[in-house]
Formats: sequence, structure tokens, C-alpha cells
Amino acid sequence: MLETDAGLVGRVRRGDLDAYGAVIARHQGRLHAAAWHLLGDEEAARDAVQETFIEAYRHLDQLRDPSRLGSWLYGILRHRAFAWLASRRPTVSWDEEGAEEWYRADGPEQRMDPTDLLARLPDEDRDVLAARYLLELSYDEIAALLKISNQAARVRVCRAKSRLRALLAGAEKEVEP
Amino acid sequence: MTREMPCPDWEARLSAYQDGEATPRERIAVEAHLANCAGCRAALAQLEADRDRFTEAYASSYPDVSEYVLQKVRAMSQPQQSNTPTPLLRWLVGFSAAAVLVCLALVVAVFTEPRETPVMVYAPDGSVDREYGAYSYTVNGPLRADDLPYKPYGAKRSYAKRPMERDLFAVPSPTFDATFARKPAPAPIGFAGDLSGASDMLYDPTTGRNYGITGGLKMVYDVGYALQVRNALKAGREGSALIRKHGGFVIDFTYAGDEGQIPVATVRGKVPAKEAKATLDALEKMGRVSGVTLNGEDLTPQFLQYMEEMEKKIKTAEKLGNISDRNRYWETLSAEQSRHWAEQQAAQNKRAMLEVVTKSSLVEITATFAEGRPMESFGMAQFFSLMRAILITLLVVLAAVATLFALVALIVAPVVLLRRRGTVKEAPAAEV
Repeated sequence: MLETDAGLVGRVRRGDLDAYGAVIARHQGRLHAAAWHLLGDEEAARDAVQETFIEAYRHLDQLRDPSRLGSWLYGILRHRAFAWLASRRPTVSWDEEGAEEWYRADGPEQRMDPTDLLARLPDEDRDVLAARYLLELSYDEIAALLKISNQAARVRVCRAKSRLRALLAGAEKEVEP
Repeated sequence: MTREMPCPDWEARLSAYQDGEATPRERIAVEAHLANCAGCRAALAQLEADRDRFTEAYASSYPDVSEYVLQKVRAMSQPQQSNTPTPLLRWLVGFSAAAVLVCLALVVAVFTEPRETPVMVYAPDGSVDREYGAYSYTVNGPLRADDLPYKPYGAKRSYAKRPMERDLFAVPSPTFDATFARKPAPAPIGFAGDLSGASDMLYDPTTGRNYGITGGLKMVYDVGYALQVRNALKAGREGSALIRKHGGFVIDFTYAGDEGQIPVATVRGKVPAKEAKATLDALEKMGRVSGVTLNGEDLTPQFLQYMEEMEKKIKTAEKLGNISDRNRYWETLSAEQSRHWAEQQAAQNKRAMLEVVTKSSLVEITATFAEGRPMESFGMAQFFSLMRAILITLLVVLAAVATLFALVALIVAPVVLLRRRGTVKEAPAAEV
């Protein structure tokens, strides 16, 4: 039977590094996808995931609910990712036209890499979409991460989805004619 | 392909439905709506398609970081075990130590507070009782408020059996009811019952008033009162005067005012039973009652028997037309006269008997007046005792908290020591 996150965390806390290996194996795929989505860069994503796991190990005693290990790891990841982004670039405001221009400018071959397109979503939406679609966190977990109510998390998710829809629609508009 | 928009009202619910986060009621509503609305069906399908496109974009293989991470983790879990504790640990240990010290200091401060000197008190029967602080029915003295009958001390209550001396027959009752209570007792419910184990004690918690000489008490042959007064000598004189005023007499008066001792005056006297209650009422007003002693006996049956015998004699005399041999002279009188005389004589006898009984029923009162602050109302003494209670409460709370912290520190310390690093919150931007 697959060991639960809580069980693994318990073992790690007792000093079992193999258990931490199992934790990494279980979560790194999803975290990598999320990091990639947040940072828009695979290399940076790998580093971020590494750092996340190291940091998580260091502060494992601060994890209050080991069954929520996934959302806790994502919490560390997003914290680092946004801090990194903030230090890297001036904030870019989201506008659909920008996305369309970007499409026109880069030509059709670029369009085949959807991650570049998705990286144009605003930070807030990327955060929520990564949490919801890549980490598959519940609304409660998202709410806890963002320190908002469940209802507000629901609204955020819905808004992010609708922006995603708009983004993908805009991209298709470019492809079709 | 066009992007489908759901009905505006349904967008959020559709989104939650897709995520499996709709409430059961919402789910039913959404499903009913989907059955009727092609637009929303398409929009839902669109949401699914968007999600698939989104997740597929990041579905490529990822680099395995486990080896690198484990290596790093292994390296950092080896050294730097316990040189300097983490801020959290240091804080916990520091706080616990400080709290424990403060608690100890307070404990010492509170419990080494000088107590009142034990006082030699003359018990009514003349025996000397040096015991201080314990409550017993034969101990009188300037006891402190918290030594007094609020708490049961398990003292034994004894009624010395004495020959019938006097009656107090105002209220006929087959039981001996006596209550021992400090007069200004703040009425802890059930206190009277706790004190002696006697089930028939009388205590009125609404008034807090109780003398021991209450309804059911037939005969009291001695009462001891311990009072705290401002001036023992003066109070002793007043007490003597009080006993005389109520038709009694003072047997002895002692005063001990040695240096270094609390001055104590003791007045022992007797008052008629009828006056006992009034005397004690007046006595109570002289200071703060700190102890009450009562000894009594129920003499109702004997008294009733006596009455009955007298009645019988009178009735017999009436029948015979004469009263006694000594009154043979009256034998010559008419039956009418004889009966009239008998009636008079009977009434007279009855009165005389009552008078004799009442007169002879002297109650011995021993009043011990010790100097101390009388606490008639909320004064400094109450204030201090309240402060002391608050301090002790605080202390207990603090001690509990300190213990808790100490325990937490004890549990947390090994864990913290094992994993001591910086903290997540303060972590700077990731160097990705």
C-alpha cells in the first residue's frame, strides 16, 4: 500500500532520509510543472524545486498538518518563485492584446510551445492555476495558501480559468485565419 | 473552434463543479441546468479542454532532483548539532526559566508571609488550648478568617452529659438543633452540614444569621464566644456589664495583656435562659465573632413528664376536694369553694413551677475578647485578603503556564536541535 504523506513526514522527522527521497519522488513532478508555469523557465524551475525541497526539509518541523504536505511544498515554492520574479523583472500587467501581439510577432513555430503563451497570464492567475490544475489542491488549501476565504478562492479560480480561456481563445484566433 | 462562454450566472458554479468543489445542492442545480443549456454544456467541455491543454503544456518529463536534494540534506543534517540553540529554543528555555524563577519567588513571598502569632486561649472549661488555626468547638481565639468554619476541619462535636439543670422550653421540639456558624459568614451553601455531620443543623444562608440558640434548642448550659475587638480590656468590662444588664452575674473576669502577646480578656458569667439570646445578640455586636462554642441538651421529655405529674396531682386534689395534709383546714369548705381553691392553687403551682424552671435555667456565657481588627465591613483586612487571593490565583496561572512552556521546551528542544536552521518566513528570494 502506498504510504501517506503524513506517514512519510513522520519517518523523515525521525531521521529517515529514504522517506524524504520518497517524498521528493512523489511531489517533484507536480512541483516542477508548477515552478515552470510560475517562472516560465525550465531551468529556473528545476533550481526552484531543488531549493524548495531543501528548504522544506530544513523546516519540516513547522509543517503542522503533514497530510497537507503538497500544499505546504507549493507554498514554499510559490514564495520563492514570486520573490525571485519580483527581483528579476518589473511587474508586467496583463493584457490580451499583448498576448495577441506576441503571437503575431513570434511567428507560428513559437506558438507550438504553449508554456510561453501560458507564462503571459498574470502572476495571480498563474499561481491559482498551478495550485488548482497542476498541484490539484482543493479550494480550502488554496484559500489557506493565499490567506483568503474559501469563497474568495472559488472566485479567484473561476477568474483565472476565464482568463485562461480568453488567452487560449486569443491564441487560436491567431492560428485559424 | 470558438470558445464557449457559460451563462453568466453559472460561470462560478460551473467552475466549482468542474473542480469537484460544488456543494451537493449546487451540483444538483448545475446538473439540472446542464441538461437544459447547450451553451453551458459546451462551456464545461471548454473548461475541461482548457485544463487538458494547460496540464499537457507542462507534462513533459522533469529533472529528478532527489539525488541532489538528498545529498544536500544529508550534508546539512550531520554537523552543527547543538552549539547554539535556535532563537525559538532559546526563547522557550529563557522564558521557562524566568517564569519558574518568578513563580518560586512568589511562592516564597506569599507563603513565608508572617502569620499571626498563636494565642493562648482559655477554653470555657478552663483547659488551655494552644492549638492555633485548627477549628474545634472548644477553641476560641482570634482565628483568622480563613481558619474559620468556611472549611470543615473534621472537628468532633461533643455534648457533655450533665444533670438536668435548666430548661429553655420556648419551642417544643424533639430534637436538639444547634448551629455553629460565624455570624458574618458569607453563606457558603451547605456549610453547616459539612461541619459536624449532624443532619439537623439550622443555618439560614440568606441571612447568614445563626446563634446556636435557635428554635429547636431546648437547653443551653454554656455558650462560648470568641470575639476580635479593638480593646480587649474595655470590651471585657463592657461584656461584664452586658451580662449584668441582662439579669445575670459574672463568675470571673480575666485579662492577659503581657508584652508580646495579644491582649485577651475573658468574661465568664451566667444569664437567665430567657435572656441568653438577647445577651448573645448584644455580644456579637461588640466585635468580630471568630469562634462559637455551644453545649446543650434536650430536656423536653423530662420537662413534659414533670408537667404531666403536676397536672395529675392537681387533678387528684381537685377530685378529693383537698390539696394536701397540710391544708386539712380547708376540708370543711364546700365543694364549690374547694374546687375554686384547687383551680387557683393549680394555676399558682404551674406559674411557680415555670418560674422556678426559668429562673434556675441559667446559661453560662464565656466571652473571650482578643484584640484585633474587627472586620464588620469591607476594610483593609478584606482588601488584603482579596489581594492575596488574586496574587495566589495569578501565581497558579503563571505556574501552569510555566509548566506548560517547560514541557513544550522539553518536547520541542530535541526536534529543534535536530533541525535548526533559519526560518522559512524570512527566507530571501530563491536563488534559482
